[in-house]
Amino acid sequence: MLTIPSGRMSATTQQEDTLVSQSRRRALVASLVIAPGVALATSMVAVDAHAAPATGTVYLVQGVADTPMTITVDGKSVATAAAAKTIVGPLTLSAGNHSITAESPTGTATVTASMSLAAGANVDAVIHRQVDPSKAPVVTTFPNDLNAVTAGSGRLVVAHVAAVGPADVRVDQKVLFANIANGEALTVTVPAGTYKVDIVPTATSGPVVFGPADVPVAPTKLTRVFAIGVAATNSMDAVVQVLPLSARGSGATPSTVNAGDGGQAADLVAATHGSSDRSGLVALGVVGVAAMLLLAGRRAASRRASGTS
Amino acid sequence: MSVGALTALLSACSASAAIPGAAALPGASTASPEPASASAGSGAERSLSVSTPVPPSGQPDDGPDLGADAPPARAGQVGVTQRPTFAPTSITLALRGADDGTAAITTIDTTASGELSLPPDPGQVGWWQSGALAGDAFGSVVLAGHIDARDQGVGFFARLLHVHPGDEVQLSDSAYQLRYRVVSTRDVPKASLATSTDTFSQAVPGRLVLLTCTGPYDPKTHYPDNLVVIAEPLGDAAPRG
Repeated sequence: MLTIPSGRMSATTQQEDTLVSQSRRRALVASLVIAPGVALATSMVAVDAHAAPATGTVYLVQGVADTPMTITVDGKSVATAAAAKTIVGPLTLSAGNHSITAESPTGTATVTASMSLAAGANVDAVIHRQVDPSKAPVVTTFPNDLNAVTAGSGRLVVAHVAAVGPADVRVDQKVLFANIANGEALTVTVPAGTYKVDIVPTATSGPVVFGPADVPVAPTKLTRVFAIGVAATNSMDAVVQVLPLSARGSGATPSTVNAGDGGQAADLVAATHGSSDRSGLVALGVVGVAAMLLLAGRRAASRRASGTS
Repeated sequence: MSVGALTALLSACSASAAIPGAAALPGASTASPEPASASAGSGAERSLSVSTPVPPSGQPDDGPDLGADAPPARAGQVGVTQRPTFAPTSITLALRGADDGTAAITTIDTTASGELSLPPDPGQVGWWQSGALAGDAFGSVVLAGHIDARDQGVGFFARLLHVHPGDEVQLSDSAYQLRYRVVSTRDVPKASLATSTDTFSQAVPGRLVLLTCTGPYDPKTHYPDNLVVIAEPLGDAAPRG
């Protein structure tokens, strides 16, 4: 995980908590499926798996609209005059600090930044404009959430790296990502499909600064949308990156749910669900038979009463 | 992935291609629909293409702490309106009566034979891990528990027999909690639970589905029906207070 020096620590802490609990969940699931006989072998594998990789993975996202950038990592050129929306990667780098430099051909837009890469991390480093496009570009790092999703869903992340104020991202005309500022991202898991996305200034319905554009979200994929560009010059655009995810669970819908075989709750069921369809019909039947018997009895009695003396 | 493959994948999922009930999303602020023609931005409607990463033209000479002297990159922040999601580990029923209670939740899934494998302990409840997380904008969070078990007596989910619309249910894990309000309870013949209901749907707006057994008990065939309780979230998941 990246070292996050400042800012909204609570958000960072939440994310870390979630990651911790998710890894704990995975451990629990693993322990449930391990048969006793293979427990030893599996725990040896687990030890190997826990030997943390000494490297992390980095994708460089060229998010400076209309300006080609030459990108250098640790003093080595990794892309020459890369057009906006180019993604360079994956770069496998050792855990620790690395320097990223991006420079336009004329040297007018230059940024150098260091990033701290944690072992096993998967990170997008985005070179992009600040809210004020007259300032030099910056590098912002976003960790990729590669946790599993349900089989038919995809994780959609929208990151705001454009020269525009806080924005709402509307999906099919509804605000699904509210109030994202430059340098922030929001995540939502959605059913796979194609979504119509546009961006408006926060808490307004217009003017639209980007879109609408169709964004395809594939199942068990991480789809990251980076909003880039300068609203004032109509150069708003979006970079879309897709990474594979795994599916959480079998993905199979159960055909049956058998949730009781003792009968100890049978009386409770009868007492509380006595009016349910089935027992209701039975009750109706009993009443009906009783009524018929009663009626028959009355007829017989009246025949006797009015009958021969 | 090729565009063709993506299109095929997407059309295979066409049932969920629309955003179902996005209007009902909790916590979404309302914005009056604006016609697309009002766009003052980059103009014409279009489809965003996925960028294919290009390999680096050179591999950096790797070594520790090469960039320590440069100013640090900005760390991307999580937006303030991010909804937390979590796999529930505890359920509390607030039934406006004597049957309140809390039970531990374990992780369950569909078996190879298609049956939902419930926790053997009827005092516990299972969370179907192929379904939604609590707090997800879409999908059913499915919890199932035994109403009773042969050698262990009445189960925690026998309390569902006393649940009525308006009752509250709370899910939590070690960090978050989310409250739901019951909107419906229904008896469904077991055989038609999966075929005739949307109990397991992951395309509906986020909701909670509680499952157990009901109907007249038969010692051989056990209970004929499933009791299906559906609850809707009251806002977003929040840190446990």
